[in-house]
Amino acid sequence: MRALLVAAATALACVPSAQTGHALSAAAVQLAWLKTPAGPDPTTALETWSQEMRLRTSVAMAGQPVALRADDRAILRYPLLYLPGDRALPPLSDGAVALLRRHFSSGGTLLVDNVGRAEASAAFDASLRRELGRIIPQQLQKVPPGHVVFRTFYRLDRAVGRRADSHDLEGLRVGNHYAVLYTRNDLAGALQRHSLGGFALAVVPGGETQRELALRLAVNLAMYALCLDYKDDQTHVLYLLSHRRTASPSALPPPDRGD
Amino acid sequence: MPQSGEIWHDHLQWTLGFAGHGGLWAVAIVLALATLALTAVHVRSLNRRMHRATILGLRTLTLAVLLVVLAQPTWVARADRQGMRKVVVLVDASRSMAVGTEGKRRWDRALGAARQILSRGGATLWTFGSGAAAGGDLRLLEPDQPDTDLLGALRKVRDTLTPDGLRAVVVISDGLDNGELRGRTGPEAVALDGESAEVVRSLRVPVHGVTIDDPKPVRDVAVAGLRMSQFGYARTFMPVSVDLELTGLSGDKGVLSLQLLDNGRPLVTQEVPIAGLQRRTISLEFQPLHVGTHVIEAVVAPLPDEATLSNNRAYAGLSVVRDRVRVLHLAGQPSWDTRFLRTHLRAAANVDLVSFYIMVGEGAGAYVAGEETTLIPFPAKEIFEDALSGFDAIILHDFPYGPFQLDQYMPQVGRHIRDGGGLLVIGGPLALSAGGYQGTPLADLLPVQLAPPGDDGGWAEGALQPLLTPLGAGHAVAMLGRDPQESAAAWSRHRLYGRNSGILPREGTAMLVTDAKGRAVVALGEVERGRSAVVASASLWTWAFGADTADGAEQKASGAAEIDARGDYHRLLDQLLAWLVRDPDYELLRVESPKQAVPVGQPVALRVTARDGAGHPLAHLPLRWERVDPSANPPDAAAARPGPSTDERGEATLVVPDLPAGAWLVVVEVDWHGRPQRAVVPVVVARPTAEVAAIQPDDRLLALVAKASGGTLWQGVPPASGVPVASADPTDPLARADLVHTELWSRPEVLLALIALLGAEWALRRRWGLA
Repeated sequence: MRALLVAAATALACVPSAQTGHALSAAAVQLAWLKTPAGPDPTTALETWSQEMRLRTSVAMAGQPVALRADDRAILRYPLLYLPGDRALPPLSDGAVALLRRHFSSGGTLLVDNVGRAEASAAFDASLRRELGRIIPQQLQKVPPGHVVFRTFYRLDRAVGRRADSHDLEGLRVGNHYAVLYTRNDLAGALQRHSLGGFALAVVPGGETQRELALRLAVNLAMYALCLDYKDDQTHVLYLLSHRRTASPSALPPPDRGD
Repeated sequence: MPQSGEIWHDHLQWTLGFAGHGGLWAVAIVLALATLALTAVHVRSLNRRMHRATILGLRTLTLAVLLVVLAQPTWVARADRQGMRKVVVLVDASRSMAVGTEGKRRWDRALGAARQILSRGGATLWTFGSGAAAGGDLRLLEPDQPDTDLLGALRKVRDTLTPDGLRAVVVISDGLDNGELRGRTGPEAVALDGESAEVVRSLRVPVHGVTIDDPKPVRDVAVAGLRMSQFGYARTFMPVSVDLELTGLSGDKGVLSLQLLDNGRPLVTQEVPIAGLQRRTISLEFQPLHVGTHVIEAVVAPLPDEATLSNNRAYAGLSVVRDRVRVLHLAGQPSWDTRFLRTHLRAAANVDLVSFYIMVGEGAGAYVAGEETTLIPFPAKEIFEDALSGFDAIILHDFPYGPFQLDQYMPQVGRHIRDGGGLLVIGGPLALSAGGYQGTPLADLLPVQLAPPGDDGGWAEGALQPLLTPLGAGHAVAMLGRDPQESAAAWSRHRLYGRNSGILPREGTAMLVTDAKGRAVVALGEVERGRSAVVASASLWTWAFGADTADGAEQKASGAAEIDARGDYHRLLDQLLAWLVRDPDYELLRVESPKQAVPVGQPVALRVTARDGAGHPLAHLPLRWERVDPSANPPDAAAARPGPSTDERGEATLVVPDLPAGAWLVVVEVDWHGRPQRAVVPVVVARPTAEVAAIQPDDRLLALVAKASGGTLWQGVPPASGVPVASADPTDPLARADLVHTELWSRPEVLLALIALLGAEWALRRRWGLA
């Protein structure tokens, strides 16, 4: 029954909306990526991401990933955006900066993936920090290991991709959530498939175990965009339920997170 | 003007006295005798003896009268007046005196004692209770006073009778006082407080006490006190202490059934063993479920042969405010709609949120095994059985009916909603007809009917234009502007994506928003005391995220009407939630009772206010009202009666007359857009229970009063020598003898007699030729 419903939702998601021409399935989650000269087409990786979300979670994922320009107002229909890069990111237009700023302040999340082949692209890294600084005048900060993003679905102790150069995520906070999450480990590379359906790239140094961890990170990142700090609450849900008489948020024990 | 209180008992003694000077009178006698001698010589010239005797007699009489005048004789009346000042017999006529055993009331025994004292004379009857009054026919008086205020009665006696007119006060009572004296004097006091003692001493006479006890202890259980805070928070447990007084039950081994009621509806029942202490305090706790005025009632089930049932219940008023709205958010899957709703609820300062999302699908299997995930089982039992009553509102967000055995928990959910909870169902591909709701108990709680899912599976994708209905245009929930026109314009600029199909209105459905074909998008309904709402779309998040909305600068540049989609999102959800939990600010009709409890016999004046969703007064709306007994099962409603109409300010005063004692719900209704709008207010019509809260006679206060005034405390009838009544009391400082002097010589008859005697003598002397 659920599969049918999800399939129906996925199929119906292709109905174009009245205003933009982009398919909008408001009840399903559709991945969208920012098309820039800095990065390759991640479509197959995003399809894997969507497929794994369907397999592992209850989230209704919709259709094909959508490619958008950063200055396209349609980005305001996709709260989760993906930005891959393996070379320098050209300066964003002022319109794109304004739209992305609005996206972040409205509650959107941008997942940035440094997809450099042998190692993280220093050029992309530097240009990314420059452009993000135009959008939000903050520096990327390391996401604490105990943050809910590492346990929003799977328990993870590190953030790996096709590579495992760094075990950390970096992020930019807007309000109470990370509006930008940045991995330097080529997450898309671990998810990318070739035309026959198999994974296209070897995962180093951890092989398939590392790929599974990369898939789990992808699930957690999407779940974080969808649920934010829900798992912090859920840690205490039974406590809350059993202490309805007196419990108030201030009276609760602190969540087991690092931030 | 104080009246004389003295009763004089006169003992008169009459004596004759002479006020004339003794020496002068002796001279007068000598002169009189001399005059008589000269007269006797003088009348010898008369020939006839008869004439001589007559003249001599008249002269003698004249001299005698003159001598009497000179002696100044006076009657002296001596009145001995003894101390027979008034004894006031003050009989307790409060309701506790109606209690008794063996077929005889305390009142009957009190009247017997009063009659005995009154029969000794010199005493007068007063009764007291809430007030005090003199007189009355003993055969007609009844103990019907709602309170006992002895100190007030003593003040009244003091102020009514002059202190000199009082001999003593005799109080005949069971000693149960619930007035100022009890308030000032604690149960363990060994002496009266200063002010009470001053009142007693200001009478300047002894105040004796006659305690009316029962031949054997009465059997009674009384709710002597109901102690709780006057203010509480909705759905927050409140401690309550119930003081029970058990009398004459020491041998019983059963249990009492103590029940706590909220506006007549049972909250908690506890069984209390009878054996043990006479006085005990039972601690209970309860959750007031709804904001507003509550009447909490503690009731003890009657025992066989109980002395009185009027003390088996006690009331307390409670004002309940909402500190935080407690929301249970259950989502069938994480989605953007759940994510933005969660963000909204988490940001609301007055919302206490517990969320549970279904995170995995049925086929996840090995992907989510073991300790590798942070998933926990759906705590259905904890939510639906243990914690449900702690929530003001439940949000089922794209939540399927089948997979979580909701069926077994629906009785609890249904009770909770019907009992005043709020239910918001937000649609999506897993909800309503698409989620298998049709034909289930959950569907019965919804404001709409559900058709089986059609070809579209109960969910239709595609953009739609939400349209306000005439009802929705003025309704507080759907109001997105300062007035209905502005609100309609705002709705016309928004879009929704995807809609639950197979939703049909039912009787009573308040359809606020539809699509272009009139199919429900936002609908509301009443579920007995609770409320439910349906939003048949899962795309409100697009408003919050600004998906279709140009920013301020873009709107300005394009000249398009400004849309605050994010603001409208928050406003709509705030209003929905507020309506669900009956926030008074979002009610079209409001009724308030200025008093939490009204004494029996007084009319109740209720304030009624009618405002539309934008806060504009609704004038000239005729009200109707009905009285409902909430304790009846099912609640017993009297026939609706017409009331006044609202004025230009949308206000009216509804006077409800003659409610019997007890807790009532007054339901006020108006028709608006052809739909009845209701408001309910609890009204308590109460008899004071303090008078009979503790029913066992208690002579401690009477003893203290007697002690403070130099009086005596007797059980039953005082001995004849006890109360000073008619017998004389020589030590009474008021005892005295009054002398009344009545002069006999100065009376006009004496002067006339003198003139007559002198005239007669003169005339006879002339006639008989005597010079």
